[in-house]
Amino acid sequence: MKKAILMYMITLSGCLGAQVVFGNPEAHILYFGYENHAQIGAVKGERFRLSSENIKIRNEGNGFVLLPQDKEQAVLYFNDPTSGVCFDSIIFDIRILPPPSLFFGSAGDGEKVQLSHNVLFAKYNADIPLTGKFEVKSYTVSTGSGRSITVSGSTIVEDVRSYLKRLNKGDSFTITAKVVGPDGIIREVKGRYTL
Amino acid sequence: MKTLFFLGALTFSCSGFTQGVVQLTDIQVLYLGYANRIEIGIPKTEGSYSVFAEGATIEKHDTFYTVFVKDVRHATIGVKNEKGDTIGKQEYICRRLPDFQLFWGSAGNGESLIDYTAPLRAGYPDLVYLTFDFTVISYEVQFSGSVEVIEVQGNVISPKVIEHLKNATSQTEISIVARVLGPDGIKRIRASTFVYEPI
Repeated sequence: MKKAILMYMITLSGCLGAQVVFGNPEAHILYFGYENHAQIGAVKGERFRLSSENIKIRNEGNGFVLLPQDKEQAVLYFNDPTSGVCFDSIIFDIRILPPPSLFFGSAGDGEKVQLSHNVLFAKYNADIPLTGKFEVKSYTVSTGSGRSITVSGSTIVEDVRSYLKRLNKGDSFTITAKVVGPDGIIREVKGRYTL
Repeated sequence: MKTLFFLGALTFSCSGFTQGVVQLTDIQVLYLGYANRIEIGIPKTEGSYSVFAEGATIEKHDTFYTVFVKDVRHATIGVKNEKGDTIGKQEYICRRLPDFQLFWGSAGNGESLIDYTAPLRAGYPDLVYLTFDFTVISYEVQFSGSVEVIEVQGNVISPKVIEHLKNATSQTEISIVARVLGPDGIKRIRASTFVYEPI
C-alpha cells in the first residue's frame, strides 16, 4: 500500500510560547474523516519540527488539527529543527467515528416526543466526547401496525405528523434514519420514541 | 453532593530526555481504579514548576505521571510556576473502565460473525479511549451441538475451525475460551460466544 509521507515545516518554540500540554500516551487515537484537535509540545519545552506519515497537519488557533489520510496506522515525528534528527515519534490508532444517536427534536432514543418538534437530529450524546456533525439524509417511521412512511431529509413533514397523530398517547414508534457523518460514511441509526 | 477534593503537589525542575507530547483536545478521559498515564509538556521558559491534581492523586515517574482518580465525575490536573500562578490546567471526564472483550473480526460477544477468517483479538470496546495491546495466546473452540473441543495456538482461525464452519448451519453458536496476555503481563481467560450466519 502506498503511504503518504507528509513533511510539515512547522517549527515550534517552547510549546507554542507559554502553553502547557497535557498528553495521554495511552490514548493516541485519531478518528478518520474527523478534525482531531490537538495541542502539541515537548516535555522539556524544546523546539521541534513536525513531520508525519498519513496525517495532514493544519494550524488552528493555538493548536493543530490532525487529519488521518487513510484508515491505517499513522505516525507523528518530532524532529530537531536544526539537525532534522527525529527525537521522538508517536504512533496513532486510527478509528472510525462511532455512530451518533438519533433525536426527535430534543427527545433521544427511548424518550417521549412532542409532535411540535419539526426536525430529526443525529448527534453524539454525552457519553461520547466527540463533536462530529451528522446530517440526516432520509428516515423511515414505523409503528407496531406494520405500516411505515419514508421521507427524504431531516424535516418532520406534515405527512409524518398526521401519521403519528393517529397513534394513542403512550404508543411507541421507531425511526430508522440514514445519516452521513463528517467522514462521508452513511450510517443507519435507530431510535424508539413514545408519544 | 459532597465534593471530593484532593490536592497533591510535586515540584520539579526541567530535566530528562527529549519527548514529544500530543494532547488530543476531545479525548480527555481518565479511568477510575486505574493508573492513568499522562505526560506534561512545559514551556522551557518556566523553570521550576509544580503539578497539582484535584479529584485525583498524581505520582511522578521518569518522564510521565500516573493519575489515580477518586470517585468523581471530573478531575483536574494543573501546573503552577515558581510564583504559585497556574500556568496550565486540564479538566478530565472520569469513567469506570469496563473489562476487555474478545472480538472475532469486528464481532463481539453474542454477535453474528461477519468475517470468520479474521483473527481473534482482545481489547476494549470502541468507546474506551485506550490503545493497549492484548495478545491472544491460544484458544479453544466448541460448536453448539458438538462435544469436540478444538485447541488452537495463537489468534489465527485455524483451517480445522474454518472447515467446521463450512459445515455449520445458520445460527450455530460458537463458544471460544481464549488465553489472553494483557499489557500488564498477566495472562487471563476470556470466554465469548459468536453466532454463525452463512455468507
